[in-house]
Amino acid sequence: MAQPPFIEIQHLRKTFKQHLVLNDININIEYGDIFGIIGKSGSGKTTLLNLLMGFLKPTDGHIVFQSRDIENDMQNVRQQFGFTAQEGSFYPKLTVRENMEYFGELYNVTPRELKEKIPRILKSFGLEEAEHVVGYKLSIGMQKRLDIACGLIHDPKVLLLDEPTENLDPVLRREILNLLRDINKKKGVTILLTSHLLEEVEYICNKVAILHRNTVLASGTLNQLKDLYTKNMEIHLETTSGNYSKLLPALKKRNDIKSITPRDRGLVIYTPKPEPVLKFALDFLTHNNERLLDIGIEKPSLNEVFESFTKDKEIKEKVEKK
Amino acid sequence: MKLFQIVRKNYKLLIRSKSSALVVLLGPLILMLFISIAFNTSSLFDIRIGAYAESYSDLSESLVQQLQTDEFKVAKTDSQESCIKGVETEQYHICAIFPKDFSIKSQESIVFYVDKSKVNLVYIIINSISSRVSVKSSELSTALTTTLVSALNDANTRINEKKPLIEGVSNNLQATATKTDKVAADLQSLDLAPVGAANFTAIALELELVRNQTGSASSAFSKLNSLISNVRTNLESTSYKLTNVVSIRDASVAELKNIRDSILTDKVNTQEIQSSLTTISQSINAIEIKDVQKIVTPVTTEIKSVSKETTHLGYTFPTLLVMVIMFSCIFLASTSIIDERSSKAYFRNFISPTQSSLFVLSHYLFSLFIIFLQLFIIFFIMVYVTKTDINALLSRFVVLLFLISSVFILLGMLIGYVFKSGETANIGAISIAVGLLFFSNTILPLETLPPGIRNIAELNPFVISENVLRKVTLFNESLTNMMGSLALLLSYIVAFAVLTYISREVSSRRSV
Repeated sequence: MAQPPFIEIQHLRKTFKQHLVLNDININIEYGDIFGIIGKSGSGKTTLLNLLMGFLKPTDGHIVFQSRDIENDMQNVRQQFGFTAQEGSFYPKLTVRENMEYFGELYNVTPRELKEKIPRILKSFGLEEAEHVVGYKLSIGMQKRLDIACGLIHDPKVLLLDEPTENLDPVLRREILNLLRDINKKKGVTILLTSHLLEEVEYICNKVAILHRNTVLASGTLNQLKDLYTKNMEIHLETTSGNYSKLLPALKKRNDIKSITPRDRGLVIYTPKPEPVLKFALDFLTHNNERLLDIGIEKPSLNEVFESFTKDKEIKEKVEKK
Repeated sequence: MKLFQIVRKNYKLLIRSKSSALVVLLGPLILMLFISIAFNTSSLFDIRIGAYAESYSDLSESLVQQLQTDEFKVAKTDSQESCIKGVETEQYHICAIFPKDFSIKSQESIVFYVDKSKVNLVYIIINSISSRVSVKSSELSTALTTTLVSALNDANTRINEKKPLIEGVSNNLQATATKTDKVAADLQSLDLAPVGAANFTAIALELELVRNQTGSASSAFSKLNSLISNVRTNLESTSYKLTNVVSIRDASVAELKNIRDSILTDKVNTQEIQSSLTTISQSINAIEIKDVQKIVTPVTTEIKSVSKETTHLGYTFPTLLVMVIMFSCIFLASTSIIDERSSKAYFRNFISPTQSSLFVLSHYLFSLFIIFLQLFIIFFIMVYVTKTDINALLSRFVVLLFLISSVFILLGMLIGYVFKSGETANIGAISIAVGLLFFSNTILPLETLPPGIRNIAELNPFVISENVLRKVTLFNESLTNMMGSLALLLSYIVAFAVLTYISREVSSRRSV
């Protein structure tokens, strides 16, 4: 008999007065998933997280956690869920340790447990030296780590993160994502995060739900989504010269190429027929004595999947309106 | 324990914001210090009086001098208009217009012009100036009455001195009347009837006969006859004169009777005068109060306090203390709530498995701790500086201050949760605190309010707090005698606590 999902969102609907924010949301999250909810601003991502935490009550539908409706199990949900807000949720005038002690006690962690736990968390989050530094004096990256540490102080089974890498530079972003991946792997914490930065979702998440205009357009593993929602493949091509002035016009003459996008020193060619295009490109470069540095066929990025799907949806809506 | 962890966190947040900590902790103390210095006197300072008289008399000059003291500065103006204008432009607090050549005989009165829009000042000035003018008026009255009383005493003395004289006059008159009676009687008793008429004809005939018989010379007889004739003539003349004397005597007797009557009338009059003077003297003597001060101010008043005598600060201390508690509690509680709500960590508090009531309770305890710390310092200074023994009142003070602080802390917390931002919460806190202050006895007596509003204002927690604290401080009242007020304070605590809890729940939904 199949295990029920760890978290199951069933026909969830949320309105604020007359304003529909979420409509018929159905998502299953398994234990150990790093689940990404992607969507444009205002698509209802944060509302969905608030509903998951029980901070808001659904207008319709249910959220089931470990086979129990969270509405009837709120204390347990709050104890089992950790949360990290977009802008950080700690006291800037308390030190790192004081924040952790404070939130630890709020989450029913005993002082003895805290004494043992805090040094370990500080070490794993690289905050040891900042233990007695007040929050506002920390760097942005450290503040984000402190925020996540506060969310994990009570060893939650689920960690909810709202735009966790928002306002971070690429290095810090990657650092935080790696940290989350470690938490997921080492502690088995199921992670649910929202983001509109699709590259990072693609980097860290094993499952994704696309939220668009109040509803989930699709959810599943990245590969499932890519298979479902795009017919194009990506050919990544890079030459030593980085000069594509001859190749680009030749490629554009072909009917089987959807689009070509420059990326770094190379090109990304979107095509439903990658093999003939790849062969053409190789022949062309050989003929023109261009040395190939890198070439490969990849499935399209999440970005393309997202764009492809949301465009389809918008077109469908326009047709329906007409 | 969660509760103490939250309280500890609030305390740390407060002390790490040094400026806030200073304001919160020292603000009320500094306020109390300044208030104590400022309110520990009921005197007026630097009151400017404009004065004008078309021409100053001694009396008006004297009155100006009377007003010219440390607290009043009198400036003479050039005209009545400039004096009145001076009040409008706040150059003077009051303008005194003296009648021309003002004297006690003047029918006109001194007119004071005041700006009644300065309600809280004008009555104090009027009262102060009236009392000063009254002093001068009393001086004049005393002088006039002294003259009057002296004159009366002098008259009495003189009456008493002259009484024997009048009595002598009366007796003399009586004696004179008696003598007059006697003289009249003597006169009346005089026999002035003419001696029987002499028969001179017979005498002449007899003489003739004698002459004839004797043969004497007729010349001798003629001489004798002539003499007899002379005698006869004289007799007749005398008789005639006697007749006149009788008539004069009778007239004199009648006159004497008149004189006697007149004397007796004068005597009666004298006796009446004597009686009147005796009555006057008796009346003067019958005046019991001849002390000028008693006559000038026959009814003297003395105001005695029902409470034990203390300084002006002592009387105002309960009000000042409640004022400090109210402002401190409302601002501290609302600010800490707003700080919490605007904190990044507010959301994490909400989603933690911690009851809302615990946060409400912890904020309440935190504020209570700070307020009691301030009160401890205030009382310590009060006891140290004024050497007041508050041991007997301490337990009652603690109960009352706990209730009063609780009311205002919960009110402040409610404000903190109801208003969305720090700015609006501050405006709300100020408005509510000032509203409570206005509808109390602090600025104007509640008795000046219409009955309907007054009944509501009497339920004002500030008024109740002030009353209970005053009763304990000044009248040593027991708590059991104030159960009604204490029950009201408790009701406020319960009501504000419930509302605060509800507001927190509502605000948490709003914060999403």
